[in-house]
Amino acid sequence: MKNSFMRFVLVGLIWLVIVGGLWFYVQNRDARLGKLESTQVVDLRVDRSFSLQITSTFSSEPDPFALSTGDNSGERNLLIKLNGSMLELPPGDLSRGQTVTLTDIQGVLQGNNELFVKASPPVSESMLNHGIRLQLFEGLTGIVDQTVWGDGGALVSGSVSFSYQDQEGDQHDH
Amino acid sequence: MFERFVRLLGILALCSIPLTVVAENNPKTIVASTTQIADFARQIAGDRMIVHSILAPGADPHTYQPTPDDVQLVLGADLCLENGMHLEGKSWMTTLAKDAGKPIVTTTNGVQPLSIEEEGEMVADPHAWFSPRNVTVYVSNITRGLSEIDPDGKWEYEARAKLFLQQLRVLDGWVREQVALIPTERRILVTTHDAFNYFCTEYKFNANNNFLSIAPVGWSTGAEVGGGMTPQRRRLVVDSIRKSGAPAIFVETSVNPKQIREIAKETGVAIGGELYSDSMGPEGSAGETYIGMMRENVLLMVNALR
Repeated sequence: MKNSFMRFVLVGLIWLVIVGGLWFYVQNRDARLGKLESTQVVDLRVDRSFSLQITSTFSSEPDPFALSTGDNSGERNLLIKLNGSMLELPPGDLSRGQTVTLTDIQGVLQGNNELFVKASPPVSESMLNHGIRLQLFEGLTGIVDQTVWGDGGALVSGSVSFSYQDQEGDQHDH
Repeated sequence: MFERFVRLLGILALCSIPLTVVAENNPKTIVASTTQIADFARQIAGDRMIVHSILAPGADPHTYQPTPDDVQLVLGADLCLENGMHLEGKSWMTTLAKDAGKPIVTTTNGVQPLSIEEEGEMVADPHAWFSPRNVTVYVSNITRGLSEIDPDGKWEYEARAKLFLQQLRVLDGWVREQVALIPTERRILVTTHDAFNYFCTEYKFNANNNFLSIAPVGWSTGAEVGGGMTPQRRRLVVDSIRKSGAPAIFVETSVNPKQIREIAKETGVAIGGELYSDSMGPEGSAGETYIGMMRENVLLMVNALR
C-alpha cells in the first residue's frame, strides 16, 4: 500500500519536473525573442533629427466621446506617434489654420516608417470635412507632405506611411 | 513496472489538458437589466463574456415584474448591470442582484441628469441613453466593471469600447445632419411617454416646451411620482399639438399605443410611426442594436416631420 503511494508521488514529481521544465523553456524562449526584436529596432534608427509641421483645418477640442475609465482620462485632444512612440507636443490645442512645428524629432528609421495622428474636431462641425496636414522635414528637405481627413463628425485619425533611406538624394515619400 | 509508470504519466498529462481548456473556455456571465445596456456590454465584451438581458425586446422596464427565471439568471451572473435613476420600477434589478449576492454597476453613474418637474417634485429623467454623449458614460462604467472582474481582458475591453465610442460619435454627427432636414418650426416630437427629453434637448426638438418631450404619459409608465397619465397632462398634450401644428405624433414599441392613437384621432394628426424607446427591437430587426434603434427612430421622425 505504502509502496504504491510512493510510486504515485514519484510519478507526480516527475510529471511536475517535465511540465515545469517545458514551461520554463517556453518562457525563456519568448523573452529571448523579445530582446532580439528590440535590438533590431535600435539598429535601424537614423541618428539625425527632423522637424514636423502640423496644420489643421479646425480647432481641436476635448472629445466628448472619449473613454473615461480613470487611467486614460489624461489623453490629449491631439495625439501624434512616430513608429509607435508618442511625440511630445506643445501645451494647448490646435487652432484652425495655425501651424505647429515640432523640432528635434528622433525616431525615424531606415526603410519603412509610420506617422499616426488623431485629433478631435468640434462635434458641432460634423457636417464639415476636417483635415490635418503633416509635413516632415530633414533640414529644409521635405520627407512627407500628406493630409489626413475625417468627415461626418468622426475623429480625424489616420496613418501616413513613408520610406526613408539615409543617403543623399535617395529620400522619398509615398 | 516501467509500462505502468508511462501509463500513469500519460494519464496525468491528459488530465492537465482539459483542465486548462475549461479554464480558458469558461467565459464570465453578465446580466443587464435592459436591452440597451446588454447591447453596450456586448459591444465591449465581444465573445470574451456572455451577456444576457433580463428585459425582452419590447418589454417595459418601469412596470416589469421579475420572474423565477430572472432570479436563476442573476444567480449565475458574475456581474449585473442596471440603468439606475429608477428606470427599473421599484429598483427591481438592484433587488435581484442584492438577493443573489452579486456585484452590480449602475451604468448612469456620472451622467448629468435632466431634472423634470412632475407634480411639484423634481425627478431625474432616467432615459439618458437617448443622448449618444451620455452613452459614453454608460460605456465607460461598463468597461471599468468588466475590467475589474476580468483584469486580463482590460486592454481588449478598452479597445472595443473606443471603437464603439467612435461609432457613437459618427452616429451623433449623422443624427444632427438628418435632423437638420426638418425645418425648426416642424421639429415637434410628441410620443406616448416622456422618454425623449435627452433626445429633444440634444437635437433641439420642441422649442416651445423648453426642448423637452411632449407626451400624455409621464417619465414612467408605472405609479411613481410623475408617472402614468393624468387628465391635465393629456389636455396639455392636445393643446400643444393644436398650437404647434405638429405634422405627426409617434407611438412607442414598449408602451401601449392606445392613448396616443386616441389623441391622434382627436387632433386629426397622423401617426408618424412606432419609435423604439425603453427597449430595442427583436433579434433580426433593424432596431436590435442601439445604433440601429437610433438610426431607425431618426429616419421615422425625419420622414414624418420634414
